[in-house]
Amino acid sequence: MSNIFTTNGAERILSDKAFLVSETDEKGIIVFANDDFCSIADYRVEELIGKPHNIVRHPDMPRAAFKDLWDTVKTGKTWTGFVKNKTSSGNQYYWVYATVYPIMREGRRHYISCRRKPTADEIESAIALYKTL
Amino acid sequence: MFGIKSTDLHLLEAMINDLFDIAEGRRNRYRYAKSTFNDSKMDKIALLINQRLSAMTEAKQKDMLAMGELILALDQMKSGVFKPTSIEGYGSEVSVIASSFSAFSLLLSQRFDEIVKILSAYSANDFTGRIDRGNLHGEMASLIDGVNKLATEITHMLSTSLQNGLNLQNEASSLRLAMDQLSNASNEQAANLEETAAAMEEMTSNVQQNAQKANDMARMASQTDESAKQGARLANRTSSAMTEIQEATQSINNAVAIIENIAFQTNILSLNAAVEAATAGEAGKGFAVVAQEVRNLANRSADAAKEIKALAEQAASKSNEGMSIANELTRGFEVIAEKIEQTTMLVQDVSNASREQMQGIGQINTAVTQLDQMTQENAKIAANVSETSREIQELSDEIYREIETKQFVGKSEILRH
Ligand SMILES: Cc1cc2nc3c(=O)[nH]c(=O)nc-3n(C[C@H](O)[C@H](O)[C@H](O)COP(=O)(O)O)c2cc1C
Repeated sequence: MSNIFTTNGAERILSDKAFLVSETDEKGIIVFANDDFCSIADYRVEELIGKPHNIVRHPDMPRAAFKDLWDTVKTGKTWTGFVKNKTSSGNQYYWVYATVYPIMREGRRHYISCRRKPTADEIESAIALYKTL
Repeated sequence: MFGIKSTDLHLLEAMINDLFDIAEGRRNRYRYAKSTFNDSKMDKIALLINQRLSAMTEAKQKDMLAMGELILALDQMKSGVFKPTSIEGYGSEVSVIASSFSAFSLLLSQRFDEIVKILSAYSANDFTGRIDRGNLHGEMASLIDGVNKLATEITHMLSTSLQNGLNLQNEASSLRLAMDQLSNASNEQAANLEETAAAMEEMTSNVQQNAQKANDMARMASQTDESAKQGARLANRTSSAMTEIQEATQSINNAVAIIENIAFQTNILSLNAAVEAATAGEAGKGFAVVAQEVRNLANRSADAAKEIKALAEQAASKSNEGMSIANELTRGFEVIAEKIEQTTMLVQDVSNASREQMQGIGQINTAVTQLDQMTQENAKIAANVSETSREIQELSDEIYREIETKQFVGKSEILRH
C-alpha cells in the first residue's frame, strides 16, 4: 500500500496510480471507502463507515469550498476541485483532486468522490485561491 | 518558423504539454483556456483546443465517474458483497470495462442469489432444490456442482436415516411389546409364586400342627398307657385283696362255727344246770337264775355268730364279685394297652409322615424362594429392557420427527412403504 503515496515531511504525495474513492449517504456520512483512501488517510475502513466525511477535513480548507461542493452536487451536478485533507493522527496532510457526484443507491441519493493526484502547480494555485476565500 | 513569434511558440508548447498531461491523466486542469496569442490567426488553434478539450474533459469526467463506481463495486466484491452493479459506459475503454463488469457482476450476483436461495432452503430443511449449472465452467461450475452434490449426499443421508429411524421405530415397538409381555408374565408369575408361598406357609403350619398334635397324642398315649398299667396293677392288687378277704371270711366262718358249737354246748350245759338247779329246789334257785342267764348269753352268742356268718358270707360274695370285676378290669386294661400300642404306632407313623412332609415342604419352600428370586430378577430385567426399548422408541421417534421436518427427494417413497 505504501507505493500508493510518498512522504515529504508532513505531506503525503499520492502516486500516479492512486485512486481514492469514498461514498457517502445524502448527509455526507461515509458508507464506504476503498483501500487507497484508507491507507492514505490512515484509517481502517470500519473506522470510517458511519462517520461524517469531515473526519478528514484539514483546518486549512476554507468553508466556502465545501459550500460550493455541496451546492453543486445537491443540484445533481458533478463537482471537481482540490482538497487538502489530514491523516487520522492530524500530523500529516495530503492534497487530492476530487470529482464528487451524486448517484442513486436503492432509491436513495448517495454521493461518490473520486480523488487523484494533483500536480504541484495545481496545489500551488489551489493554495493561492483558498487564501482569497 | 512560419514567422511565429517566440512568445506564441512558448505558449503553444505549454498548451500542448498541458493537453498531453491531461490526456495521459497526469494533470487535472488546463491552464491556458483564457490565454491568447499575439498572432490572432493562432487564436483559432486556441479555440479549437478549448473546444476539443472540453469534450475530452467531459468524457474523462464520465470515465472518472465510471471508474469510481467500478472501484467501489470491486472493493465491495473484495469484501464479499456481490451486488449487481450497473455502470453506464460512454464509449471509452473504461466504458467497455464498465459494461463488461456490469454484466459480470449481474451474472455473479444472480448465481450467488440462486446459491444462497438454495442454501437457505437447505437450512430451512428443504433439500429438494438443485441449481442449474447452465453453461458455466470452472470454479463457479465446481461450486454449483459441490452444492448439488452436498444436497444429494444429505438426501442420501436423510433417506438412510429415515429408513433406519422407521426400522428402529418398528423394532423398538415390537421389542417393547415383547418386553411388556415378558414383564407382565413375570409379574403374574411373581404373584402366583407369592400365592404359592403363602399356601406353602399355611401348609407348613398345618403340618407343624399335625406333628405337634401327633406329639401330644403320643404323650397322651404314653400317659394313658401308664394309667392303664397303673389300673391293671391296682386291679391285680384288688384281686389279691379279694382273695385275702375270702380267706379271712373263711377264718371268720371257722371261728363262727367254733363259737356256734360253744354256744350250743353252753346252751345244753345251762339246760342241764337248770335241771339240776330245779332238783336242788330252793337251794338251786339262784343257780337256776344264773343258768338261765348263761343260756341267754349262749343264745345271744349263737345269734351273733349267725349274724357274723351272714355278714362274712355277704363279704365273701362281694369279694367274689370284686374279684371278677378286678379280673374284667385286668382284661379291659390289657385291651386298652393293646389299643394304646396301636395308637402309639399310628401316632408314630403320623409323626414320621409329618417330618417327611416338613422336609418336602422345606425343599419346596427353597425352590419357591429361588423361583421367586429368579422371577423378580426376570421382572427387573424385563422392566429394564422395557425402559431401554421405550428410550429406543423415543429416540427413534425423535429421529423420525427430526427427519420428518426435512424435505428431500425420495422421502414420500420411503414413507409409503
Ligand atoms: C462524497 C463526498 C466526499 C467528501 N470528501 C471530503 C473530503 O475528502 N474532505 C473534506 O474535508 N470534506 C469532504 N466532503 C465534505 C464534507 O462532507 C464536509 O462538508 C466538509 O468536510 C466540511 O465539514 P464541516 O463544515 O462540518 O466542517 C465530502 C463530501 C461528500 C459528499
